[in-house]
Amino acid sequence: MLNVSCTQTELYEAVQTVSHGVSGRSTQPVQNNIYLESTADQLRLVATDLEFISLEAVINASVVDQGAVTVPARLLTDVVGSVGASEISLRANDNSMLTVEAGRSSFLIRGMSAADFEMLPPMEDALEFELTQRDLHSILSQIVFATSRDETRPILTGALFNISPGGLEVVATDTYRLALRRMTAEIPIDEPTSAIISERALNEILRILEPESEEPVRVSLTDSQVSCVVGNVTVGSRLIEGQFPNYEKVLPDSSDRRVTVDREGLTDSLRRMLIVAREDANRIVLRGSDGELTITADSQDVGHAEEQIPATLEGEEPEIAFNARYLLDALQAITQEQVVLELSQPLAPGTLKPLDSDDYLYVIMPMQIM
Amino acid sequence: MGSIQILSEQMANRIAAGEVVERPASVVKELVENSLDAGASRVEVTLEAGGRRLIRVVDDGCGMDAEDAALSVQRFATSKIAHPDDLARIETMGFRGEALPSIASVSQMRITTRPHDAVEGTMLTIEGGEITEARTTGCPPGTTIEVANLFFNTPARRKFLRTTATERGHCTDWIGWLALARPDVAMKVAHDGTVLLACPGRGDLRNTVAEIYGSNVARQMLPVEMDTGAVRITGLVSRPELTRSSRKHQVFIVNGRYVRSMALGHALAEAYGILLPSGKHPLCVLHVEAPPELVDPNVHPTKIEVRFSNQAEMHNLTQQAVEEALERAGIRPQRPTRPKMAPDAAGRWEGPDAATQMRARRLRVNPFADAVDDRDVGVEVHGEEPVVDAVFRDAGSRAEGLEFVTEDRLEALGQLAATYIVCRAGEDLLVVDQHRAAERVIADRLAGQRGQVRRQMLVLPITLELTDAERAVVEQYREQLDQLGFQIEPFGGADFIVRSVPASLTGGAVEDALRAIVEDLAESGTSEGPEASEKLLATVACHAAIKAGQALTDREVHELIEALNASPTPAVCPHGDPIIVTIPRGDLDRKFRR
Repeated sequence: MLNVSCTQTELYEAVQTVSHGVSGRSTQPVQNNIYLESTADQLRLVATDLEFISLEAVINASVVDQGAVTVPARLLTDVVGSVGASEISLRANDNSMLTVEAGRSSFLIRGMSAADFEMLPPMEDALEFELTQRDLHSILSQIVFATSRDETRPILTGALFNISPGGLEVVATDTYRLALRRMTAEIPIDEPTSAIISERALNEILRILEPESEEPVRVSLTDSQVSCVVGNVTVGSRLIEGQFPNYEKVLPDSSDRRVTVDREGLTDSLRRMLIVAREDANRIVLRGSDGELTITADSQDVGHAEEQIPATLEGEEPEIAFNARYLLDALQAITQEQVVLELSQPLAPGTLKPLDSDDYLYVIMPMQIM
Repeated sequence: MGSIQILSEQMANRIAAGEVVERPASVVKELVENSLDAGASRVEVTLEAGGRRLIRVVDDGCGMDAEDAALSVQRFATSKIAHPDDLARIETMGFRGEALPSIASVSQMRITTRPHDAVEGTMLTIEGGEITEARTTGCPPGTTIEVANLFFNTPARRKFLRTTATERGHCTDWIGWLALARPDVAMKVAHDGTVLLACPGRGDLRNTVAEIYGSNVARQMLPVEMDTGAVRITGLVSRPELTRSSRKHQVFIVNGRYVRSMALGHALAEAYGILLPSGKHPLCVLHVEAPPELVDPNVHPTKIEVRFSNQAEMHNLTQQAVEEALERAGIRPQRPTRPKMAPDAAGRWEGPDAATQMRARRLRVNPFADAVDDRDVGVEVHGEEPVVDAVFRDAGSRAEGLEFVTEDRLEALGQLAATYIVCRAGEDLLVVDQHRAAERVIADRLAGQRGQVRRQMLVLPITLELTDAERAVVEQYREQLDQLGFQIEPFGGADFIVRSVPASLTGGAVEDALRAIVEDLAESGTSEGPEASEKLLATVACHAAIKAGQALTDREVHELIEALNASPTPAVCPHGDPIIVTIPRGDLDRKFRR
């Protein structure tokens, strides 16, 4: 029977992390629980919706006896979070009751048998490679927001990972905009492969990554599953099956109007314009002339907003309408100081990218000017 | 020798009779309309054997001299039109000049007529269309036409006649409609010696309604009165409690002519909105007076269908007129979406004015609307005060019928059964249907952007593979879909490609919604005019809206309720169904015996 003790801090962090894996909507009550297992010298915690999310954390523990039990995620989180003592001991009995003792507090939690708890199948013959936390964070933060929320098109609710020996190309689109990020990396494969990973899993990974950390993330990939090991946490997910749309043909190959602007200047301006534009489907109009980019927002119900920011204009003077939110999503994900908007006709796609970089490409479809 | 011959006039008349004269009722209609056109103040109709054996129409109209009488039974002889331009300004009921000759060609007819200023009258006897006798006679001023043995020479047609009771019923229906069209004319109908109907002709529509539908019905009718200068809409509509399961008792009179009009019927239904139980139809007698140029009655030989050159505007005016009538009676109209949908004279789509919004805002629907107390139905009206007022005064405390809640904003408390959103407004508990609320919000957004479309172009255009019926739907609705923001183009074969979608729908399952919209439209068939726009909007809203059974996050719940708060018409979904059920605090107090 499970019988361990560990630090409250470590346990609480682990419980909080894995409890995101509980869907709360599972038809099997046991899947709404967190699985606790004591191994030789560790405590393992797992929660999964058996589809998009499997979260597993391993923490150091002094193990008295090995065993497993499941307890309601919310209850365990509240109990562990509430106790003041630095050491917590967990002890399960034959009836799946878990005793939690910390200092002079003691809880008896009604759990369920660990035997009924299901997990994602183990991954066999997986492709494995490593990225730094910083790199993976950079990739994900620039594309995840462009995935679709429309669950009737499941393919688009994930991001496409094209993996080749020389690196990664990651694409996400909700059909209104498309984000593409490339990164060179050494990946031990001979033939390129690809996978569509759900937005839910990617957001979980993003949540636990440290943006500036050089520590490695170990990625494992099979035909049907993916997992990422970040420190003591493993995020697993089933892949989304199907054919990602052919996105290459929608990448604009030419533009006759280029606008280079300060990223923060444009971001701040768009936020102000959005006060008016949000009443009108977030629509803003960009017009370029005389070294300035004029941004306007009009709403029948609210009024008008207008602002000029300095810009370097090349080619014809552009005029185009966009959903300001879509622009802001990308502007917030770009880190470079200067960005370039490449435009052509008012109803043709525009491209936003960092100046002097081809790593990131953001294709945004216009709204009609009228 | 060719076998094609010009038809004899007699044959032509008999063939025309097939169009105009279907049954005794058609004869009655044509003859009485002639009487009315002749300026009669009194028309008496005598029927025998359901009109098969005899139809006699006696009027005190202007009468005809001998020459006119003889001409009247010739085809296309009419005193009412002299010049093609006159067709555009028809103000009389008959005008085609084919009724009398047609009737004459299939019956044994006798016309006895005398102008008021003539000393003696004329009597014509016509047999199968041929004048067999013409002589002068002494008779009262006016015209009497007797039609005996209808279809005596066309046995095939005679066979199609139904029972005496049925034919009689059709005759009295028509006379009733004509009487409602002209309450100033005294009309009397006798059948086989029994007087069936006797309208006094004092010009009081309510009296006429009482004579035809009974005094109980007449008491429950509310007056309609609207005058825009160009268009005047008057008459009576029933209180919502008074309904029938068919639309037969919806009488529309356009410029004095009884007509059938989809547009007007729809306008009526829209005005009542959710006040009516489903499958129930109000009664009405509505007189629409519009400049003749706007009305085209020459759609069908029997002139029963009418078209307006400004169908949408007439629809809206009629709806508004009825809504106002219901409002004056204290029954709030339910569909102020209409002003939002209606283009003004310049063809622009305007939002409802502030007053309309305020009116709509106040409306909440009571959960016990179906359980209207029997005591309230059929209460006698004393004096001028409508019964409805009394019903509403009590509604607050008894929670029956419709009820006005304060204008408090809804505050979401949470989702219930993944289908409803429980809210608080003031001290009342409100339950919101999440699907209908979302429909309302989407319809508002879409209607709000009409004329100023917000299209979001697509990175990856949607390809639609369609069945033949669906293709037809897309073709027909393409322009209207385009106005909403769906830019759809043929893409070879059965495929269409969608290049843009309404910007306000980009948060949802828009492709799925579009497919469902097309399927839905293909399934339910297409319509035209303002109905089509309305239907399309409701369909789009329905399929783009979140569904019942869909779990929402707290944030989604709050956003939906906030958007509903902002809606000018938060109470009714685009299909006309209630969105909100109110459980007044008073009800809770009573249930807890407080």
